Amino acid sequence: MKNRIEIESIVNKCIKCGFCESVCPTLPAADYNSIIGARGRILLAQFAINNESQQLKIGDSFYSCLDCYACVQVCPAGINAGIVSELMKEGIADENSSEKNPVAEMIKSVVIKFKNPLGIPGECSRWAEDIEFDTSETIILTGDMYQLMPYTRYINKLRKYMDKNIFMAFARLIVKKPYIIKLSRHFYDRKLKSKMESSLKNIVSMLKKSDVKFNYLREDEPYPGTFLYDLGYRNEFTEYARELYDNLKSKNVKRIICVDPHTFDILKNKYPEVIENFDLDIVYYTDLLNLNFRKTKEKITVQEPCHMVLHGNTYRGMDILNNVADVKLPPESGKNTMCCGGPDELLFPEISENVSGERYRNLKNISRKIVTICPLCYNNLSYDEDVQDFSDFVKNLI
Amino acid sequence: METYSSDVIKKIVDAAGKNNVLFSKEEKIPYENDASYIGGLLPELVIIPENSFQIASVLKICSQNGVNVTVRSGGTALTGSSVLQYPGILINTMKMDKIIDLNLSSRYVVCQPGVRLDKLNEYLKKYNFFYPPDPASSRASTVGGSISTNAGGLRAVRYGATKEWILGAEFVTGNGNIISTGEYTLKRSAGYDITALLIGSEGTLGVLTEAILKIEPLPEETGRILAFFRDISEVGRAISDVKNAGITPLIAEFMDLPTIDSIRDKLDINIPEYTQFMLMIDIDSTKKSLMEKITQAQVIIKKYSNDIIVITDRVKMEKIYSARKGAYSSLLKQRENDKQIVIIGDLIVPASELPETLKEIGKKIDEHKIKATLFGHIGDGNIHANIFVENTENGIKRVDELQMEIAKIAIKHKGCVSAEHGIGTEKNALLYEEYREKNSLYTLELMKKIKNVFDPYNIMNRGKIFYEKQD
Repeated sequence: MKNRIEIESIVNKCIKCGFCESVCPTLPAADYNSIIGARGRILLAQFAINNESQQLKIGDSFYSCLDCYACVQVCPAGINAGIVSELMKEGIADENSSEKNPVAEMIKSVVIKFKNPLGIPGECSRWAEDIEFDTSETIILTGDMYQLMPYTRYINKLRKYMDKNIFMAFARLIVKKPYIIKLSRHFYDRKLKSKMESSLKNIVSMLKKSDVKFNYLREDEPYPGTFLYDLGYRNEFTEYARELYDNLKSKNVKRIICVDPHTFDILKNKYPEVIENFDLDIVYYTDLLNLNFRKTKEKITVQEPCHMVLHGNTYRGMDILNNVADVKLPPESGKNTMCCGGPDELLFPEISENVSGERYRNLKNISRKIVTICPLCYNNLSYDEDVQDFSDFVKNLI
Repeated sequence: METYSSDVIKKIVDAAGKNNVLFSKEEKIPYENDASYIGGLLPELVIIPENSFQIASVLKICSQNGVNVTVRSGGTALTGSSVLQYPGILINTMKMDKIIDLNLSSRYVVCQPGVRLDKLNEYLKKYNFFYPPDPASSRASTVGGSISTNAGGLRAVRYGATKEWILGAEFVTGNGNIISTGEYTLKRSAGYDITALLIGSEGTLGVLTEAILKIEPLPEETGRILAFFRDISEVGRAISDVKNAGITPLIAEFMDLPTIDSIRDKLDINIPEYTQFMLMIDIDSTKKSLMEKITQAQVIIKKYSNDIIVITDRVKMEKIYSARKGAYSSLLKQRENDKQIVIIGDLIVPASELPETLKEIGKKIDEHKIKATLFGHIGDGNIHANIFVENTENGIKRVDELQMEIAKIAIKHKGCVSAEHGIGTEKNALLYEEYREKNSLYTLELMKKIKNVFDPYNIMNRGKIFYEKQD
């Protein structure tokens, strides 16, 4: 299996203490089926690399990992079960394996073909039709994350009424005929679309008010290939990233402003791994805001994004919130924050829903108002109107 | 290879509910291991039940058909007690993870077995209460697992082990009867104390499905004393004198230099160069008199240690506490390679016997030429010898021999071969030795007779506690 030595060097350090699974959000969400938890993933990987495992269905164990990295924060041996899942997914994606997930394969085909996970780059840039941008070497790169949420929410609603096998057959069909995916442009949650577009507009407006000069590539805005990385398609991701990088360089881009943690994390940390002499400056939009926010007495709680706090990234989002509002955090915060379940939304909607429901209840126990700093978190936690995106919350305080 | 007929398997699945059963090999593989170095067999089925009725139905069928059953919750056992020694099924109680009732004035909380101990204390903290048993694995270990091993932990010097904190239980016996034991009250004088029998029974009698736990208000204020020593006997004398002065610390821990080294970066304190041992004591009191009490202890310890640090900052205290709880795991960094394992021993002697016991254990470790570090709960006499060894047949044999020799030292000093980890399969020879040495092997026979009453078909967690000759 691909990555055997690397996987072995990690899993052999495991002392099987179970600390990782005590914080792994997917384990209780999957009714304590051990292989849908961090320790189970390590033990299954250990078995798979040392035994004939072709007959075993091991894919779901690793594909269901949220990559939140909660496990490594508590592991006494310093093991990151999320990395093991990433390496195992790579192995599965690399081999001619029956374990390949049809939905993952569908997403890969579509991303490579259309440079967008749903084949709708035009739809993804429509929010900015009426906005003028500067001519600048700095661009805002949305990663299509805010824009895709209304579509994934709607598709998941449909899935609930659809037999799983039919959905998988549909995914397989799209692998063969990728153009079919373009039909998805008709299937979106209208209310969420308007909300997400409004959040993007708020971000742009606040950056402009902060005197930041930046451009937006509109329909030419490239999707950064986050799904290819997350689903283990490492070769495809490497090729995709290099092409995208060359494309941006040809447009004389020097600095990228990201508006979601997933895009920020992949550009900041994963692109330099596959692109030699990567020299784009990657910044998060909260760090550029230079505004006088009004203080509010409102008590809020915050869903801190895993891809910021658990992936070792820094950003000013929490500082801003602490300055303007009465922030109360749940026990699962900071380095112990709990994922919203978003990354499992397409492949394991039930697990995703269980994780997000649990997290929503935890946060609601702290305060009525919840602020999210990631579109995935917003989409997964917005069970009521008191959940607000960071951009919407602070925009109202200018 | 299937051990049981498809008809029996079908009956078990029907009783548990199909959605509560794991069938496939890949789903069962993680259950071949717990936190010990002792591997187990692949279970025929893994049942993750929702309630005691399902467990009772499953155990009835298993009893009628001779299907062996192993029980597990957090899977943090260090003696192999939650993996299969005999072919059979495994019942995992993690789905029963609810806190059912809390009564502050009567000082109890009712929990299902799958509630993790840190989660329970996080919940109780909101009410300014806590559940004292505090094993180092409390992040992952559960109410069910800690009762089944009579877990102890750092706070045992003040609060004792789990057995002091269980008022009652709901329990499914090996033959599938649901029983209630104990009460919600602090006092009870009503026949045999069946609850006490269940504590430390390691799944050999049946399955715990609910427990009534005693709780305590959180201490008003606590402070910590760290003191450094060249000689272990000085550590023993210091803690003895503190206790003789009428101070019972909340925790009283010691660790040797290799253990200190493994967590040095997390401790973030100046450690004198001569240090061979560190003593860590927590004192609690009212806000007003805390410093007075700390000073009293400090004066006593000063007779034996030149360097003492007092910490009252909560954040710093929490950081050091976490480092101490993670000491066993941190020792992993000192492994020579990934194939080497660290086996944690778990002996206890009366606190007064500790200095002499530690000296003899140190000597024995040197004689065996095996790398081992020492830390433990000096306040209650509990010593953990952490033995570094290659995970090979010969390596394990060497550890077994050393464990037996140091167990004999503990027995000689009026102690016990297991303080808080249980017996599992790792220590059944040591347990036998303890009763043989006490000339009381009939106690073991009585235990077996008790097991036979709860589990007449001998299906529950076979091979654990008692050595059983395999067919």
